[in-house]
Amino acid sequence: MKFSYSLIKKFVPEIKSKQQLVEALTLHSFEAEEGPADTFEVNIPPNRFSDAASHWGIAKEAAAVLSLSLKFSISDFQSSRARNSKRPKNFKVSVEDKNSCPRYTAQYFENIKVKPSPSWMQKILKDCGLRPINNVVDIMNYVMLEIGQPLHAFDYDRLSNPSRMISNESQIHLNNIQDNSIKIKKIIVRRAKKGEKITTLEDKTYELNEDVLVIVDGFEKNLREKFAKDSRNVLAIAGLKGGKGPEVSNKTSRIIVESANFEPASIYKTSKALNLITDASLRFSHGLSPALAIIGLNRAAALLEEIAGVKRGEQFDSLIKPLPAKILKFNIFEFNRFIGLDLNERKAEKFLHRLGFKRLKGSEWQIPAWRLDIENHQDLAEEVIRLFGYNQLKSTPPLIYLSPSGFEDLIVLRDKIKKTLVGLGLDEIYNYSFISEKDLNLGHSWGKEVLELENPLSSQFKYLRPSLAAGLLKNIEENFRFFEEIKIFEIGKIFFKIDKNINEKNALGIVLFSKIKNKEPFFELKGVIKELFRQIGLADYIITEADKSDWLRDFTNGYLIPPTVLKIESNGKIIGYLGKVKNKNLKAETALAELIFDDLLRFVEEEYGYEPLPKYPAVIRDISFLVDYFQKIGEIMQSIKNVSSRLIDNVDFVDEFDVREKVGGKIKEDKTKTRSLTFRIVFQTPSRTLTKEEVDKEMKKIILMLRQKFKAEIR
Amino acid sequence: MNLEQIKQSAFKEIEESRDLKSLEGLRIKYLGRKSQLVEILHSLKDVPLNQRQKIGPVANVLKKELDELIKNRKAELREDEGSKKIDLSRPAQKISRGHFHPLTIAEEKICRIFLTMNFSVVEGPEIENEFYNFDALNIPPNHPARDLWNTLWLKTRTDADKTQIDADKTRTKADSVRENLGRNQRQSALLLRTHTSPMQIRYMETHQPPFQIIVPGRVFRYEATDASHEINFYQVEGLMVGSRVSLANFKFIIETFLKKFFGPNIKFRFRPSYFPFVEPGLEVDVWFKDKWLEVMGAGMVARKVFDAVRYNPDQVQGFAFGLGLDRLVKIKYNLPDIRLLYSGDLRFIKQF
Repeated sequence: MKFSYSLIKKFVPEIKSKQQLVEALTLHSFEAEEGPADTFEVNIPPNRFSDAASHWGIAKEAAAVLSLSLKFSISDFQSSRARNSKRPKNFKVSVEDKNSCPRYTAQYFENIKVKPSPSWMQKILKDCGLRPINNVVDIMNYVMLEIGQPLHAFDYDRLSNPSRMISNESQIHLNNIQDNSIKIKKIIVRRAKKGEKITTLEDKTYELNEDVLVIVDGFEKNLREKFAKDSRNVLAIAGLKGGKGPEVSNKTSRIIVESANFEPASIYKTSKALNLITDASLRFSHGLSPALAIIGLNRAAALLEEIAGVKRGEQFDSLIKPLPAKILKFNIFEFNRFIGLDLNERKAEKFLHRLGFKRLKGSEWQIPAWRLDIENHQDLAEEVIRLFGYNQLKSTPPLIYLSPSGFEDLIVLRDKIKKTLVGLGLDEIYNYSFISEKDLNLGHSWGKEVLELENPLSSQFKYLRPSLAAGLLKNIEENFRFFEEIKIFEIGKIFFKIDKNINEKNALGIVLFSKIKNKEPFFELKGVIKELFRQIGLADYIITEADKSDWLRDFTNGYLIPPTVLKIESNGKIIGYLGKVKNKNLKAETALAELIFDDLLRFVEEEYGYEPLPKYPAVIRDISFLVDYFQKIGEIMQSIKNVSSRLIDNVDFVDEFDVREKVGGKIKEDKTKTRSLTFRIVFQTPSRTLTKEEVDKEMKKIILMLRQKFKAEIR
Repeated sequence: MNLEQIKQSAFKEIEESRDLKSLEGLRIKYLGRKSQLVEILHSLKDVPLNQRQKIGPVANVLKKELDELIKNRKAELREDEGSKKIDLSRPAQKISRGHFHPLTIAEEKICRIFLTMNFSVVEGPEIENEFYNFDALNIPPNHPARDLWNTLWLKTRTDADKTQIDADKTRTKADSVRENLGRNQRQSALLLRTHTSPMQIRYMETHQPPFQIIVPGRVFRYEATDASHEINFYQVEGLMVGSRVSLANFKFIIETFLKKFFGPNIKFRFRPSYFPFVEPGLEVDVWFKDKWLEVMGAGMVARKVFDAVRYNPDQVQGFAFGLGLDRLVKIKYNLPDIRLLYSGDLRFIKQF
């Protein structure tokens, strides 16, 4: 919010400079910043609009913070002059929705000469970003800047004349009613009717509904129903903006000034619904004290008299009883315990005094009516400590009960995954949590449905990511020009819906990409996953081919080559997948894996098992043979182990090649056994050294099995 | 020279030879055709048998020894000369493990610092409901304070749900705004958490003080992105509650943290601010490149928040804070633009 430094200086003449003011406010009240020329900006917190969104308010703060005197008194403006004239002669006010309008004050003025306002006033308005219009309107705006209370002036003569609103037919009935009140102009505060319209001075028309509070002219409710169902003049949207028609013009000679208080939530909702924010709506929607209404009205009256030479008429005030005083107790012991300070009571009291709090009896304090933000002792403590100065506070180590501190289990697991993968040479990526429609069409989701945003920032960020795949594959596309090889991973939340239930899961995505000859990212990735499981202590898992019945194949269809998809299962549940990526743009093999690791937590074991170091030497034998192309390496290895599980320590896959001859670039299909495989078998027992004869015997058994089961041709 | 003298001087000279050329000279000197040793061996046929049997083997052994010695020395000198040709200024072979994302590095560092001060690390959901994200934190509906958090809402309601919620809203208008606290009907409205503060509520609902926790996590805002704003970013929430946890204690904890994170010379200040869930509310600035930069919001937990989690506000007190991780990383690593963090550009990631 913009402020005029000269006006503050007028209220607190002892302030030395704008810089001094801005610094004092920033360190003790709220963020302030020097603006161009005579101005400065203050970031008024939402709970301080009632007392601080005005020059009077800022001057009060500055005076309190800098311990200077305030040369602006509102005591003359605080009392209502309406007590004796609840029913003024020239106009009537009826507040039909008292919840939405806790206070409505108004006053009649005549003898007005509309002309430009004095230049000093125009300058302050301009500095604060308002456009001068004429003396009446400018006084309304000036009082808002000065006191913080929005005001509105209606041209009295352009309010509907009740008799003119009545049709001829009704006129006859009306003559029978012996009530002068129908001849008096009347202001009504009520909810708008659905479809009612208002056109503002800028020629913008708003269609209203029952949620909107409006100011209308016309009859008392009972008469309105009888005679003029089309009560037509919506004078203003309460607390937001005045309408075209009763505005003050050069011809205006009599006015009614409105200074009201409106319920903040109602104004806020209307402002949001109509997408209309005004200086008045901003103040009302944050909440203003009803006490300000009469102060604003009286201040406006004084200025109208002084500047526009008007004659004051009668006042109206919907509030009959005076506002209740707000009283709170301040306890210095509680304060010191709360803040961690040893301030003496006198000093604390001085701070409260400076802020305009009045000490009653004992520890009771009366809170100024405009301080809507002060509700309890904690609020009083804030007032004292901010004037004392946060930066004067001494750092004090807390006295605490020691209790073991640590990371939540899932964080520990996630850190372990990150460290393992980085150790294996992978780089970590953070992508956005959102994906576009196009990304979504790639097809992957762990659940049936994705989650959509109601108010996406752009089409690029329309859905919550149901998988990390889209982001990671994009990373490869954007990076592959710069690198021979890319190994990346991301850990983050993914979101999807299954049977109306929203799932938010911790996922790990890995992508390996390589342009280097003879590198096989797919098998490297398989190795990365196995080593990862070993490092995090997950023993119970299997990696097998996903077949057509697995939902994985459908979901990953958009970006994986279906026959290459492997599923990763643990404890009977699919926890992840792995596959080769189909993407023509990349021109090199790319492999992708994704895992959901929330459920792994239950199955990972912290400790590695110890096995005694071998005492006796191992015997190593290599074996090569030819098999049909469809035979699976995984199955062959397992079968070898099974033959002699007692003596075999390990079976390693060494290599494979295609023995088919190429003739003129074409493969000759003349052999059935086209696949040559080599395995290394390690024989070892913990109890003794194995003899050559023993090993030969086992090898014979293995060869027999390979011949029988896999139709192998030993080379 | 007798054999012993030959041996001594040959051993010494071979050992001291510094290049292949001088070593070749020594070979000629001691093993060449005209060398003393060869002459002795040649003259053996002329000496009496008993002497021949005495000198012969010794001379032959010495010849073998010298042969061996020269061969070894030659190998050594060759190696030396070969090594001289290696250009030691050649760059090292590239050995590398992967790289952690800078946000991971910073988050871990922050967590470790707080862990040393007996804080525990917990996390919460990224999809939140209106109750935890706003109502319970004393940010009532239809209050402009909510505008401080531009929210991304989830499209999860069916039309029937929506009507119900609208009806709810009408009922809750005007003076009953604050009654919403604790009302669970509103939980149906889902959003992406705009801050990590909902975890204050979730944690206090299930734990009793005293405790101290930090909550790192991703948060979301409906905000146009620029060099210092992102649609998603990271916060670390802190909460410490006990019977006497004071604002001065907060200053100690945060001072310790800032000094450990940025170094002992970091300059910082507190400045009053407003967050509906703390009272007093303040912001912490650090002095960086001749400017005060805001790094966290903080304050003493508001009574209404304790009310919402059914603590007795007369018996407990404590502080809460929320620091912007991206901003700390931006300051610490001198980044021009926080969007780099989510760009997935490996040329950037590989620098950390």
